[in-house]
Amino acid sequence: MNKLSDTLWGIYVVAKREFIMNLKSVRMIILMIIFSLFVLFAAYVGSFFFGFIGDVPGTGDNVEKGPVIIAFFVVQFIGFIGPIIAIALNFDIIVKEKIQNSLNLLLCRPISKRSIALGKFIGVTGALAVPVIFVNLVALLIVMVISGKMIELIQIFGFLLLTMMFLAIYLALAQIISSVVKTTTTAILGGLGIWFLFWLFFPIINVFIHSAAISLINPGTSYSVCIEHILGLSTGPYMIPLWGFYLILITWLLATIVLAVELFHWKED
Amino acid sequence: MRLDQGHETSEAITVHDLTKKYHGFTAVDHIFFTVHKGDIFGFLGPNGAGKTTTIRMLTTLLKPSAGTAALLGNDILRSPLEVKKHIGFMPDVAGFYSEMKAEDILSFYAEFYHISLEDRKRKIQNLFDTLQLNGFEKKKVKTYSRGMKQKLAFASSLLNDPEILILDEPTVGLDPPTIHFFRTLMRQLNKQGVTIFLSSHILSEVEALCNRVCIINKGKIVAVDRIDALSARVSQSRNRMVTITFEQMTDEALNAVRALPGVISITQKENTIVIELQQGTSIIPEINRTLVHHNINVTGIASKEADLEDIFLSLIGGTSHE
Repeated sequence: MNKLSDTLWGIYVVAKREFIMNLKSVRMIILMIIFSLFVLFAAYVGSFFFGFIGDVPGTGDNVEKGPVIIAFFVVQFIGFIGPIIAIALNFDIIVKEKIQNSLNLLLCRPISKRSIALGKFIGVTGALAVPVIFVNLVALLIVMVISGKMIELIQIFGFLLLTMMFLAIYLALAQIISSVVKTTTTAILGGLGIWFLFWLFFPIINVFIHSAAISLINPGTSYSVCIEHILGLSTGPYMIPLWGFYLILITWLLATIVLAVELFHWKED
Repeated sequence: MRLDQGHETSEAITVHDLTKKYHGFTAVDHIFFTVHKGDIFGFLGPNGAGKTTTIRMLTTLLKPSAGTAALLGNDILRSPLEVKKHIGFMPDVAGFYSEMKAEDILSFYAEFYHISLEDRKRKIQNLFDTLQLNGFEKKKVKTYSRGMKQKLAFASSLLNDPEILILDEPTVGLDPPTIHFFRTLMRQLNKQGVTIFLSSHILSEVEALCNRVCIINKGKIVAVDRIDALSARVSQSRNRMVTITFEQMTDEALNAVRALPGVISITQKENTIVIELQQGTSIIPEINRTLVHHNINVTGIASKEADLEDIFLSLIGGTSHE
């Protein structure tokens, strides 16, 4: 076995354990029930609001846009609840190991700290992807049945991919916090801090300084714009070209993953 | 310095100028020692001496501030994964994923060594048998007692059939039967060719198991040698205590012994006297003759050789409470 295959194997072993343990965990079940309720509720409210069900007549424009307008409505809910779900799932991924002293028995295996951090991230992202994709597909299916119109396969794929990228950013942010703190309480507070930062602090700052650049920093903004684009609902012009928002989202994802891996690698406990 | 020498070396562990500093505090201070293949090597030191820090560096869990070490010729800095492939490690505090079944935990760890599923199952069952944990394979670790967790940690250190086993305080907090079980197992493994690096606070354990010891104090190596060699060294450098038992003693006989050259002091307690002799003196036959000459019926003479506790305390500058 060469060094690369050893590294990949180690990442795979850690990722597999994280994937299985997370999928089986009570925490995941509870979080997914909450997530499902939010998404399905959003899909229902969206269908009602845009006149696809109930007595409220939809405007011609909305009805013309079909189920994608509801999907975009659902995204606004995901943008709110998604980060909380991701943080709640991953806030203790490293700190829990420190507290229960299981890290030594893992670190003495032929695997590097970087591989452990990356494996954990991949595993938990995979575990979150399973219910998230399932719930979103169900929601989209319901929306399509209600509206009687199809959403293109590429749009569904893009919607799911962007949603997972968005959630993965928060998973990585939670892992960063988990790598540097010493207690789960601090990890929870750190996670809440991140959520507040993007959902309260940034909008408040934006109100005061009226700078679109501030909202560009928020991954939620890029996620929303990219979804708008993929669903064919772009309302531009934007401050930067559309591809810039994709770039911001990808940069956020890569930067947070690299930071999570490197912080764990360099931090001595 | 590069210590990579491949796998063909007679040394199991070579430590060269190993140093660890934390924010100005030197936990391990430029230490050197060698562990030969086949040794049961005792690593002794008081609390905070730097034992665990040294072990964490040897197992590549911690990066040294300076110096390096090689295990089976693999440098801990240059080839950490190679080092970890060939060692088994049992940390002082072994924590597990409490929500997992014991056999799943071992299977998870075994997977890192590319052991096939079939071999893993067989090996894990063997380990559960060897460590007398049969029947608890499918139990979650949170239901395990402390002793069982220690056994499981020991089992996890044997998954890769290690050539070097590094044990950090493996028997702390265990009951006597389990301690005996662990010691027997260590001897068996050593007979099978496994080099054992044993850090322990229990001096009697090190004395009973180890052929060589290393004593560390305040981050510095104080001594590395065979126990008998250290004992001789310490005995030569300190006063010797001789205990004599008798039926009845007279003041005349006691004064005669006190007058012998080399006798520093005599303490009497009922039918026993303890004589402190100057270092290097060997006048036990003379003492016996003097007592017999004064018609004292001597029933026993014992001269205490320095044991590991004496060696340890002498070398780290502590005092014996005996």
